[in-house]
Amino acid sequence: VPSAKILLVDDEEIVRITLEAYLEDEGYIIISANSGEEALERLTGENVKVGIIDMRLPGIDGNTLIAKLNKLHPEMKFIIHTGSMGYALPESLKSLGITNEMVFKKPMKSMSLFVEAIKKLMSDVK
Amino acid sequence: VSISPIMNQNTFKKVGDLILELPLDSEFVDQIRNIIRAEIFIYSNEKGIGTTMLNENGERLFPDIFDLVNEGGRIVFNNEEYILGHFEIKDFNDKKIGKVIVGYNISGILKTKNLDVRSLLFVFSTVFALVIFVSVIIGKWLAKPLKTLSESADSISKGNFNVKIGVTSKDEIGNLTRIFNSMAESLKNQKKDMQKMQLYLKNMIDSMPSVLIGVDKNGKVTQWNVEAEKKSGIIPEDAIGRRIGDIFPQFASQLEKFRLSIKEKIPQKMEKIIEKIDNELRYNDIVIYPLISNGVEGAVIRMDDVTTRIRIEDMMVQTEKMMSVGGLAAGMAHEINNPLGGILLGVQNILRRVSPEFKVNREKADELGVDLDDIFRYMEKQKIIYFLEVIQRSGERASDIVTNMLNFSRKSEAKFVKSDIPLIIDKTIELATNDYDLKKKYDFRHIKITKEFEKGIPLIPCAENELQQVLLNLLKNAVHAINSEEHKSGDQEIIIRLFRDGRSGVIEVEDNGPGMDRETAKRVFEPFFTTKEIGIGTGLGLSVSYFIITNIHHGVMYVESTPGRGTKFIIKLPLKER
Repeated sequence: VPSAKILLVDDEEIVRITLEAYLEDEGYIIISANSGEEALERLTGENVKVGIIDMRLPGIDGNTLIAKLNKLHPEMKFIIHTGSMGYALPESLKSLGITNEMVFKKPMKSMSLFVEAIKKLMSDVK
Repeated sequence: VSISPIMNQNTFKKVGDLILELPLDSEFVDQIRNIIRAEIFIYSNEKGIGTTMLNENGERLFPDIFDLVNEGGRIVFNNEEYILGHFEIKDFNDKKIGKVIVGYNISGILKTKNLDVRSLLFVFSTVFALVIFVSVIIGKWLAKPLKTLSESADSISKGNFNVKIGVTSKDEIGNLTRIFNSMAESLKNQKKDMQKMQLYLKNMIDSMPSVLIGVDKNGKVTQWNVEAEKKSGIIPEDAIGRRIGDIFPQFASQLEKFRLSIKEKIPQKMEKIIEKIDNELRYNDIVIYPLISNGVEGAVIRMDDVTTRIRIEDMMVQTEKMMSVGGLAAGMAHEINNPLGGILLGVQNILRRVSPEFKVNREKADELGVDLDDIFRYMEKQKIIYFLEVIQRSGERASDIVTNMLNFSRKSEAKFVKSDIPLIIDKTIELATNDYDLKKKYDFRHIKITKEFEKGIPLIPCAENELQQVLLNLLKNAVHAINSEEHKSGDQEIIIRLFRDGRSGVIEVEDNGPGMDRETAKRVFEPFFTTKEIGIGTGLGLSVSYFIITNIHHGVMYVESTPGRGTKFIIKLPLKER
């Protein structure tokens, strides 16, 4: 889906820049934020299909952010990008339809699976 | 008086006497006089002890006749004439201890008749008969029961408690006999109890898991329990009487401590005394307890093999160390993952953005008026692409290390399945022989892999992939070990065992490589500890294996190694899931 919008939230600048570059090459438009608060602010009036969310964030954490985003944009899909190796999906996120295939652990060795996941979510969005 | 000693059969100490007393006094001889109507005198040596003769005042009279006892001797007391006869009293050793003299009053005969040959003959034969009669009576009353008693006491003192004397008379001797019999009976029971107690004590001492040795003050063995026999291979009969230092050389250097301990009556403790058995170091704790009761000089030595305890202590220190490493690693890993992510994502971006194959790249290059193909050729020529790939691989390797380190603290969500361990081992061997890195370096045809699997091993719950990772790691290590410089030329053998030990399934991977010294063996599970050349292995394989077994499987993993002989890794997995 050309020029579909993706939200990218990560407090680590280098992660944001590199992911941004890769996804731009794939043809997406990236809205990036370094915190949950910033993300909520920047998303007003935007039609974003997919959010790539880091879990450990300054301010509100990834779980809370997703819950809030889900209320504001019920059609939005999520990918979790975390540095916690032992991360397990909490029930609250599972109930939103997020599956383990949408959980990516840092560092990402290969981007191809990641891009595939995004494409799958995009096609799910009506 | 008859005295017979009563001995303790085991200590050979006298514990008492059996005393039989029959007074051969005047009252005794009076009884005989009532029967035979003749005077009787009893002398112990030359002293009179019993007499039937009374003087005018009715007092007992002991005439001085000890020497006048030739048969037929005549003597006058109180104006009456007597003919004397006698017999000797002998003790059981046939020693003469006294005399019994019988005096027959012949005054009546002398008064009524003249002494002719016939009457003389009558007198002599009467005296002779009387003497015999008296001796028989005394013999019956005294000598016979006394002798029987004495013989029985003797027999008892030699440990035969089944002696009984037939009770033949109802008098005092008969009474005594009954007392004697009951005494013998009680002695017999006491001895039985004592033997029982002795057996019980021996059993106790033999049941102890410690070596227990009794020594006298010169260090000679007096007691030797079953453990001592097991440890030394010397039976008690051969050990008793020998010097302890000759049997256990490790004591030889401690003899001064023995002496001191016995002299001062203070226990001495020596810890972790090293002993070498078949090239293996074993550790013993030795305690010397001096015997404290008076009059006995010596000591009891207790020796315990504490090798297992010391190894467990080592292992516990190890575990603690590893756990703290685990905690540290977990915290560190999170911090490292982000920059690693930057590196890995950055490289992927660069490689993609210089690739002439992407339309976007061509468009951007055209905008700037440069030829993307030229740029790519230049980068290839200058090995820039190669360097980028090196950066990528290095980043991936660092990422693997971090992932492994995180396993230290992570309670894995690994899936537990009841698994066929022999099958997993077979698969792992297959994997190892096909492992590219190993195949490149070593020839598996030269390595003999022996499997010793016990039959009927039940399915064991485990995380198959993780267990396979551990086994593969052990196999690779074994292959490296038997191909090390020190060992290359020898026979190369790896033995994999599987057996059941109580509630655990045990897997052993043993190689006959160069082995390790204790210091190295102590550190093999430490993260980043490696004996391999730089570049081979990360130094994490065994520490990760250790965590997979102990943390994820709640099992046990340890190593046994002997320099020059080889190394054995042991894994114990609980048969039941916790």
